Amino acid sequence: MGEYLNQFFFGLYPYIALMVFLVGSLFRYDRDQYTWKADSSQLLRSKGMRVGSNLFHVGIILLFFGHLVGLLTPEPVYHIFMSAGTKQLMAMVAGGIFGTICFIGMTILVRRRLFDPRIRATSKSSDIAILLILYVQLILGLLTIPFSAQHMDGSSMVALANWAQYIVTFRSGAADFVLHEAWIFKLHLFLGLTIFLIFPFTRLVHVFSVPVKYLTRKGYQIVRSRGA
Amino acid sequence: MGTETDIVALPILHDTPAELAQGIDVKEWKKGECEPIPGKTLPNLVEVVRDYPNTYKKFTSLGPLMTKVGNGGKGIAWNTDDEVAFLGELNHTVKEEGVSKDLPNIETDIDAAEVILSLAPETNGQVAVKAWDALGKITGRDHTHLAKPKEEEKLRFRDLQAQPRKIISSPTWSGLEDEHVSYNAGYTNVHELIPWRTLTGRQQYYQDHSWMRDFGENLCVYKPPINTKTVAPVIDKLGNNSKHITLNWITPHQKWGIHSTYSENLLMLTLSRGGPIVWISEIDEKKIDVEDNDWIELFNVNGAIAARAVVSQRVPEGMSMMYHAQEKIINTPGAETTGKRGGIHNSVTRAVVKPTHMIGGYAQLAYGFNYYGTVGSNRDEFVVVRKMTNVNWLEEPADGKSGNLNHEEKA
Amino acid sequence: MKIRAQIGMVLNLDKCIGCHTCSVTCKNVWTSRSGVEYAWFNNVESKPGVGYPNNWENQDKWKGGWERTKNDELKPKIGGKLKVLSKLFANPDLPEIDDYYEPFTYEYDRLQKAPEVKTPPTARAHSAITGEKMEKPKTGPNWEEILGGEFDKRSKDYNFKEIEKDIYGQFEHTFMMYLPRLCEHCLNPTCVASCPSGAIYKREEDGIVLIDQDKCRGWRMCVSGCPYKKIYFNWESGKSEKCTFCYPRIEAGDPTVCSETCVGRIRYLGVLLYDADKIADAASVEDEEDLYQSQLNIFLDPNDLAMIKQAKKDGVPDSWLEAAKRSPVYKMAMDWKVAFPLHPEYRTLPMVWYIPPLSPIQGAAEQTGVIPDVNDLRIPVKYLANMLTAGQEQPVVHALERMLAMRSFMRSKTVEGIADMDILNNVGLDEATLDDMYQIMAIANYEDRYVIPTNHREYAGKTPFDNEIAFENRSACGFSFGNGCSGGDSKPSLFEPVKFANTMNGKPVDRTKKQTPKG
Repeated sequence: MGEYLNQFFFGLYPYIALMVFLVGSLFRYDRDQYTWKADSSQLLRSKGMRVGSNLFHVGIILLFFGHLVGLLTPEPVYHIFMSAGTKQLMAMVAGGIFGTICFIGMTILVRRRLFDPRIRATSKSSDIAILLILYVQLILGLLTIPFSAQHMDGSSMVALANWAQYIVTFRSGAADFVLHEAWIFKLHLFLGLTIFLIFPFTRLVHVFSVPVKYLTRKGYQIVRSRGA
Repeated sequence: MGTETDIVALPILHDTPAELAQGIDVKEWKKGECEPIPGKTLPNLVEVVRDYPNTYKKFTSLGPLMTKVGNGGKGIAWNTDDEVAFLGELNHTVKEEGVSKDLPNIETDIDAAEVILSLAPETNGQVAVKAWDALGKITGRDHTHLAKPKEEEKLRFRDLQAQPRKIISSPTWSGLEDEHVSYNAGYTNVHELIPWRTLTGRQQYYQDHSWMRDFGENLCVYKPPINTKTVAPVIDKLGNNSKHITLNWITPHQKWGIHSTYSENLLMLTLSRGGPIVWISEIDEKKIDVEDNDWIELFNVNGAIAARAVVSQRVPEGMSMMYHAQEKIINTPGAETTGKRGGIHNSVTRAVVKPTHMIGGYAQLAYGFNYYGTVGSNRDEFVVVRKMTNVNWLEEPADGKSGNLNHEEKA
Repeated sequence: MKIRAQIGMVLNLDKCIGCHTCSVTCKNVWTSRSGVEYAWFNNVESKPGVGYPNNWENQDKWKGGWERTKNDELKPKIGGKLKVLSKLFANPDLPEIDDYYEPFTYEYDRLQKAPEVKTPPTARAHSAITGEKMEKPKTGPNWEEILGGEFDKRSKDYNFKEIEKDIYGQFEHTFMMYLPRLCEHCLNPTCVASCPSGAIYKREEDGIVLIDQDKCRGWRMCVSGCPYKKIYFNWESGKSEKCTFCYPRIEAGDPTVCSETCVGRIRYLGVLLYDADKIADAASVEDEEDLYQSQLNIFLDPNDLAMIKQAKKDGVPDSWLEAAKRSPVYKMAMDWKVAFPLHPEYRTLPMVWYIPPLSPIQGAAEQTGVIPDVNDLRIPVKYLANMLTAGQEQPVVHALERMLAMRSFMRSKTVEGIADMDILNNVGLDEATLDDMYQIMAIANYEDRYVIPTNHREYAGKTPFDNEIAFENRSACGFSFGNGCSGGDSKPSLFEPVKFANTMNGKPVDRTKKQTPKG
């Protein structure tokens, strides 16, 4: 039974989640662009936004890219520079710092979202849900640090990275890598996949719209003809 | 109820021969100075027949008196046979048996509008000519040339529905609807040699009525506000010890309407301050520690107002002002002094009867409903103004605890 | 040279009676929805005052408009592109809703449904955002109506710059004017420049600045970029919205709703032709006081034959060139020099212009000539100049003198029957020009106020008669909320449909109950 569930959650569920993430996002972008937005609530209450939102965003972006690089860099590549143990230490330190930054920001945002009457009254249920899910996920992530500290050889990290790399390269047996990992890692993985699953149905879609094109816009003005 | 006959005392009326009843002097029949003669030294005593069962029928048809005595105004009268016959064709006549049978219908709002439009000289050229003709009989001059060019013009309800129309000159007014001169009160008196509607028939600034002389008002001059005795009795009985100030009270027309013009609509309230406001000066605000938008209470013997202060440099020291038609149905808390919901601009005023308003039978000073009679003199009023210490919305049900006034007394 | 046309607007402040009809009709048409209850695409301010939103004119505070860099180039005051992006997470220059006002409604129901109470019921104010009771509104879109509020607060008004203002707080020296405001549809808009998504654009055909609601991602930089604070963030839809210059009406040759309903007949609409290649230079002249003149320099004479030839080459339709010749806006801004841009120092080259108001003569003026000295007018010239010409007084004096001359001349002509040519000579006008001025500014007939060429559907195509575009648009759906032809109804959707609860119908919103979208 345990193995079956493990296979389902870490072998199959990732594909379900990623599929919904990709197709759902494309579909929403295609048919419901009016709902595609950052959905800022700063107009209604700017208190706490300078610190809270900046810390949260900076923290979570660094965490995201940390995870991306950390999980998807193949072992032979980083072995040129460092051992698995060193990499784990680096991940723990960087993750700890970024996680703390994000945690401080997010605590401010959660407090604002739940207890500021204006923000609470104008929140969609998905706004509250996604914020709480991210908050729990962040806390879980931070809690993995003491678990990792129990074995500094990098073995857990390598297992998790293997799992991720097997998943994204469509190789079978990915779930086996995490079968014996600590429950906290599994929970963190599961919730992480769930975030991908619900992504298209929340305001998170705005991350696709980071306006980098702005930097390459020629001049400042845009003149458009009516037919365009 | 059947048909009842009442005896009604009718004041000596404006626009009747009786308006000259006391033109020379006032004599009191009660004191035996003269004989009691109804309509001369005493109000008219007239019979009024009230035919209760036929009220509806009478209300929905044009009555027979219109043909019997004709129509008129301002002391002149003319025949209306043609117009009544015309209305019978336009509105149709009542077919039902009874008092209104064969009279023109006034069944709908449009019927009523057509009746007015057909009978009034302003909207029916033929009537206008008749009216000027009637006036000519009094002045001895021919005025019909003022309406003759428009004799064939008649305005119907549909005409007005389509667009505004220019009306026809009529002796009801002292100016002309004319291509050569814009409407100007008193124009026909000057240019048509129509006597002014005064005792002397001329413009009259001096009134030699004995009462006017007695009160020193025979010539129109500035008088400072009188003491209406509404402030002194309350000023020492303040509910609390906050600073207060006594200000003159004026109640002007508002920018978007007058009197009871509805202004509680959300957009209008949003473009104002969203509830009742009273304007005070910057100098006075400092005396009572009030700032713009603070809740203030204004009161005197007549009543109390709970409103917010608008402080402005355009208000001179010593004055307070509340525009018309800010009803207490919008965001108005209780007034501390009364324990009741705050008031409106007239809560602190009252109509003060002045003896000279009771003059009658003296041409221009003769009674007419909504025309000449007693008036309030609001500008003489003073109010005590102070900051409100607590705002009570008085929302408890009737059987619950009462407002904060009682709490305060217990404390 | 690249010639483009724009429909510009002039507001004759000398005739504004402050009735707010423009604001109300605009609101009823465009912003009577939840999320924008607080937004007034058109509002009227009593001046002097800080206005709506709070102190909007002060760009030291809000950072709207452009600033000149050391190498003579322009950059939005909120920062260059990188700096704008760094502000995405939390925009330090964004007004909070309290800088506008917390929108409210009333519990009107209570007047009919209150239980028996000791004293008659009252409909209390409720926040349209939270639905909670408010003791009293604390600010509003017209808070300073007819000089409401202490002079000390109102005199934070930016237009008092370099004026010894204390005296104007005294009862005897009180002055007042109305300032109706809307989007300026600038030639050099900072909102467009600061939009990271590229959702805001200026229309080539008529110069109207619009926000593509599908492309807007709600980064809210435009709100800060616009120095007139005429872009509003819809907190319900999460997108920015702005005055559309009633483009569906303009396209059909009709005036905007605010113009159409103006009781005082103060608004004018007409074509201005300009050289688009000169915009950047005109907006970046060094001295702020030169900006008014530099903007005038890019407008083109509609009767110049060489210009007409070039304009046709650049695709301006004949009907627009004809309309430009009759344009009341061109006449007032360029021929007569009585209309001015609002705050040219923001360097946005605004296209809604203002005729300064005359005001009563202050005190017992010693009148020397027929025309009073404009320095005796109650409203200080410097105040008007700070508003309209970046502080340069001479052009404002010139305009006021011409308006006074027009009054004196016409009065003498109609009352005394004497055409006093001296009056005209003093202000450099001839009788024919004065007749035209009088007809357009004083009589202000509908057809003289609004000279709007209809827009050509085919104009949007590549060739003058691109019928495909015309046919595509025939019988197509009109305005919708991005859901094709659904007409704005939010269909059941997995993707967080935008709700437009009616928060303005007089019932306090109950946000605990989520509205189920209509099917």
